[in-house]
Amino acid sequence: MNMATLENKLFDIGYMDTLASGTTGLHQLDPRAKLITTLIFVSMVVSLGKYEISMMIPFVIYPMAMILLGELPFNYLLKKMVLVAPFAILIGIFNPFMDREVLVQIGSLGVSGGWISFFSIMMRFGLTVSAALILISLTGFNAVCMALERLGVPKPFVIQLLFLYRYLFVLIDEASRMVRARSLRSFGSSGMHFKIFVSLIGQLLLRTLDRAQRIHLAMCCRGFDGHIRINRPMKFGFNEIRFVLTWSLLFVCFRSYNIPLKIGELIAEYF
Amino acid sequence: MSHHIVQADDLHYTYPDGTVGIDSISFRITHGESVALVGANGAGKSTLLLHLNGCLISSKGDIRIGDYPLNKKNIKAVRRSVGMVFQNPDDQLFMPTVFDDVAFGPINLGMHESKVKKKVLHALETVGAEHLINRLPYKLSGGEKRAAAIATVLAVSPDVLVMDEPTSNLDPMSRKRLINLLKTFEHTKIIATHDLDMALDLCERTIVLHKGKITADGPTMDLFNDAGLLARSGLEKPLGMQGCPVCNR
Repeated sequence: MNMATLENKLFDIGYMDTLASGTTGLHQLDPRAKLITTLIFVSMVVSLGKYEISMMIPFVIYPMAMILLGELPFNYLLKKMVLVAPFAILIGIFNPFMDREVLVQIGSLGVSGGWISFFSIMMRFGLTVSAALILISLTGFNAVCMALERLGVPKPFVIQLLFLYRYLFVLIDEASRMVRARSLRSFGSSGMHFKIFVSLIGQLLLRTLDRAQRIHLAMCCRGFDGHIRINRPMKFGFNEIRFVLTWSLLFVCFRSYNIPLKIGELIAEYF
Repeated sequence: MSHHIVQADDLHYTYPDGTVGIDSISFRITHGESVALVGANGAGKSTLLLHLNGCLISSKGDIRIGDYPLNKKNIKAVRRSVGMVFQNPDDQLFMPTVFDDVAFGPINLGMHESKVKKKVLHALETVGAEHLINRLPYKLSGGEKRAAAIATVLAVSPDVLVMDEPTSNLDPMSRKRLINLLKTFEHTKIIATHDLDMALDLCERTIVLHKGKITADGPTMDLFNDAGLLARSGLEKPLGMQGCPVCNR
């Protein structure tokens, strides 16, 4: 794949920062509120049993509501999810072969437990990844890191994340320049030979080390003493409490009661 | 007592791989002087700059900033009075936002939050970049990055500004703007550059380096008129001093 397209398509994660500068009510919420809610959402979804597809359905409300109220572009988020989907498919794809016991009979078609657990993995993947993407699109990566720090995550870890994000783009730039330089002089022979690939990666590592050294110098020049201090005023007020409580209660309900089943029973009772 | 004096006595530095970086360098730069450091690639300009605030420590000879020799004990004070602008702004802007980056120095100096904010605003205003305050560094243009990088250094109010190739990678307008900005600074300035026209514009004094040694040190105009010296040092007369390409005069 050409790195230029890779750069544009795969890594336009920077666009999430543009989204995060939105002005809706959700954008204005304290990052911690959104982070906590997302964590509760994810833990509730992940803790569901492997055959419980129906219980996952109500959880779709959360990402949908966030996308609508936060005015996020649905297609963009969907594309990002499709990009990471192969990982989830890889995890679940062997279930239909391992678990052949028929659990559901639809007409003459028997659906095995393996297929059900495969779909439950895919749904869980869809729900959790979309929640994470939405969190970053509504908040911005840096603000999420600050929220992590305020919630007691060790500082070195947060700083690592911040630096990772800051230099991810520089690294991608550097890598794409090298790949472009290679392809311009390889005159149509499309395959990248292993030997060339290894030397590109090696070059990239050396350049990264050099850059790290220069950054460290720049930091020392401005009085770096092993601590990075970032102060961000954050306010956890009434709106935040309401947001966290409402959604958490909903998630607990979704987790405790099989709502689609209840609705089905209700409908069956009336007719 | 002035911190604005930079004095080097017989500096030597050899890189761990055996390459000679600089070799018996001596000079004295006084308060408010603006000095260009010119020379071919690999002449030792960047190496010399890195010595001026203790990023590299010379193997022989010493540096005095103001009245203090540069050593481990007063390196913090020296770094406060010698502000260094790196060649690549991406190396200099490492924090999440421009504000955080400009605030990095003042916060490390232990300034109070409200004072930090004032310093940041003032530094950004000076370089005409106050509108960038909440932007992410990786999304800035080359000229904006350079302005922000200079602001990060100004925020700690240094006495001496040390710059490595400040006009590289800038479009002509941004370059002009930067030169005009630098003209307004009253700091002692030491500028390593290949942009001899800028040197002519900004610096009354020039130091020429060649293969790690100083080959000339004097008024910029005199040195740039010495065609032999320039050729020996891998340089060329600045465009502004060459004849008109159309009428050949």
